[in-house]
Amino acid sequence: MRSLPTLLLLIASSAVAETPTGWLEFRGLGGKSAVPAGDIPVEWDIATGKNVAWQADLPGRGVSSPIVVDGRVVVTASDGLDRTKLHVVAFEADTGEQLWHRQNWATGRTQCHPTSANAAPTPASDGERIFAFYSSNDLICYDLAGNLLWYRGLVLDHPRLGNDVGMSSSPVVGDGVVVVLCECQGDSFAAGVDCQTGETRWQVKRPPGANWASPVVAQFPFEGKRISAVLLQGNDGVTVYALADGKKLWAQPSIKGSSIPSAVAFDDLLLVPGDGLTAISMASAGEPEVLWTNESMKPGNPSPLMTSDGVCVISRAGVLMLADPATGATTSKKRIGGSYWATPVAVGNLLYALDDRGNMNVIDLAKGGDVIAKNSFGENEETLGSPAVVGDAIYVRSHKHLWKIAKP
Amino acid sequence: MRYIDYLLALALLASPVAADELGDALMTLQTAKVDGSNSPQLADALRVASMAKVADVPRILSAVPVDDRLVQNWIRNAADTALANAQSRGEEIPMEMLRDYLVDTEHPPRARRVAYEWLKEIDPLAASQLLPDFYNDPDLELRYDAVATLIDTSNKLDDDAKRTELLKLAFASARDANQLSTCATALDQLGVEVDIVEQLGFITTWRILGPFDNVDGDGFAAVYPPEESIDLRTGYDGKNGEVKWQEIVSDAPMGLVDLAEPFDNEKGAVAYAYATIESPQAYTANLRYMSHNATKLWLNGKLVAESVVYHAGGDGDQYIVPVTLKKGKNEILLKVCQNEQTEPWAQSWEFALRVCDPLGGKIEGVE
Repeated sequence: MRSLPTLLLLIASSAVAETPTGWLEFRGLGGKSAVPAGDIPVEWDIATGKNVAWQADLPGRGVSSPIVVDGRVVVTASDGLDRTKLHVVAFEADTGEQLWHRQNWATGRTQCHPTSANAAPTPASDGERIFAFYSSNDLICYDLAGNLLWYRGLVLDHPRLGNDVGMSSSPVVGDGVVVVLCECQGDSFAAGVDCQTGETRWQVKRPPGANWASPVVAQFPFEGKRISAVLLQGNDGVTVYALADGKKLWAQPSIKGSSIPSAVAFDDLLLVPGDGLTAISMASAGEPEVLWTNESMKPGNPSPLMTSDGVCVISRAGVLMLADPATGATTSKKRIGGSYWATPVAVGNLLYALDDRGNMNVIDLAKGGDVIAKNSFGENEETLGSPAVVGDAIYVRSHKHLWKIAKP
Repeated sequence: MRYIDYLLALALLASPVAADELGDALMTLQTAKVDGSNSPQLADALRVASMAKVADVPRILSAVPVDDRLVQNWIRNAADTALANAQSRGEEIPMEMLRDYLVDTEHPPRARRVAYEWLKEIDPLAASQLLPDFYNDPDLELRYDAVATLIDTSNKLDDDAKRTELLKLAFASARDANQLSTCATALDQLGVEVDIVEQLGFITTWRILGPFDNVDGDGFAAVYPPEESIDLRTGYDGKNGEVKWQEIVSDAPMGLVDLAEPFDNEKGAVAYAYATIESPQAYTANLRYMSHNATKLWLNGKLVAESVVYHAGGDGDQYIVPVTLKKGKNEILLKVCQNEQTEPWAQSWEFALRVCDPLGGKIEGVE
């Protein structure tokens, strides 16, 4: 079994070694929402264009995040009568030029809370394909050129599937499978859908009840080996399934998983939001081990993340809290204000925290969590989707616009 | 390879999107399966169709089915991709082709919508000039946009008489509750009273019965007497003693019927609502309803819808149930189950139900 210092060393070295070439799903791969470094502007100005590489109009509302795949920024949106029109739009990352725009009509329920949208789940990619998912449980696969490869209207074979507040769990991808978590009162399940064909490879029953949290993919210890697995959190606790066949590998019912902020996998460490925050070590070849639980580190709507200064959450009251990853002890609390749905992104020791009202707070973690800049995307912009970071650029979407923020 | 096969292969190479090949591709796209099991064949067919000549796009559009939402999307993608590919090849997309397709209401409604969206992209002026004429269109999206232009136009008029005329037309045509509300407010300011509840076909007079037991949610599956027969004069053993049918008339917006007040905010309870309507003939219709509670719906004794969902949003046409009304008397029975949640947002016990045509408009003569 690896010791805790070794585990933390691995975490630190991994942060340095990782060089993302894309932002392929909600919060980036593994849900980390962090990159080791990047020359991203601290300040920008939408009105003058300072450090705004480009701005593009979007065809509809969305609280999904942009993803970046092979030089393309892909965004989902929804609009039209009763929110039935589903959009997927791809932009050239360098120029902002629209490469293609595809539209579909929802096959499932389209009702949702007024603040949300049918385009609530963030799309995902395996690098070759795009998997767009919507509150209406339409799961649509395109190649990178915008050719439809397969279409699953999950409500067509699960008629009771749906939540009229809206559904927002984002798909994740691994080992040739795209995993969707569809939890609601009517028909709750998780499914692994073949990335190539769109056929369901496996499906597991899930507890009835609304759940907006997203799955997370991790390498999970099982019978002395590491298995590609997906972790689901819900009102029955935390459960881990094998990606390949949906076999249940581990369950911990005592951890009551949150139904909004999602877990994050940071190498051998899983951070699970619930009644506070719970850290699970997967360093051992045997059973995973609950390292700590800190009830005061309770995330609001944004998911937790690992930063250069420890585990980070933003509370419902807009308080930024940091904790020691080894012990879970809270090390810092600072009120940054605002209301947040978007998960912040850590870039080196800077934290980019986007509030609901179109304000990006840039926080210097090395300076005790001071807000060193506040950049507005506009008074009438609602920004509920999490940003994406690739290279030296950060991508942000509102209901109306998509921006690339980067130095000239 | 046989000589004839060789010739056929050569012909295909020379004309990769020959008409028959497009026909085969469209036929394949019509076979889309819900479980995704024939996706590779569909993707191949879509690639063929997406290389079609611009002049063949109307043929692709006409393959859009009226009801199959999955196939609608496959065909739509074929048409959109074919037109986008033509644009990237520098080919002109004739405005007249799209316009002619759009104005012909014999074409599938959603296919016409696709034609409209492309027309709007390549010739916005032509699209905007055509749009107001679609206020009574069988495609709901076109109708919605057309009604929106009528409302916008009315807002710019100084002449109250003309404004009233336009708003009345918009109100009569609209199927969207927000548009109806906008029209009603504007007409009210002009001294004209209209009734949204009436316009949408809400049932406002009901007989209600309850409460029966729904502790632990068991009442949803339980079969209480109204599910076996309706006798409005008989009393039954309810959750807290004898219960009798009582009349309730809703004067609330959007036909909302509150059950919490008449049943003293009982929790863990079942109520039934019963109404009859007279139809002058058999109709293909919708029963559309909303409720924040678990429900079962019967038409003429046949269970037509059920939902075990409590307190999870839902306004307007939360549930749309296609039905056939018979000539004469039709009986509607709705079971509305309240659970035992204690949160403030989980206290509503209510419903609203309307009878309408498949486009959401009131059926004339159904009372």
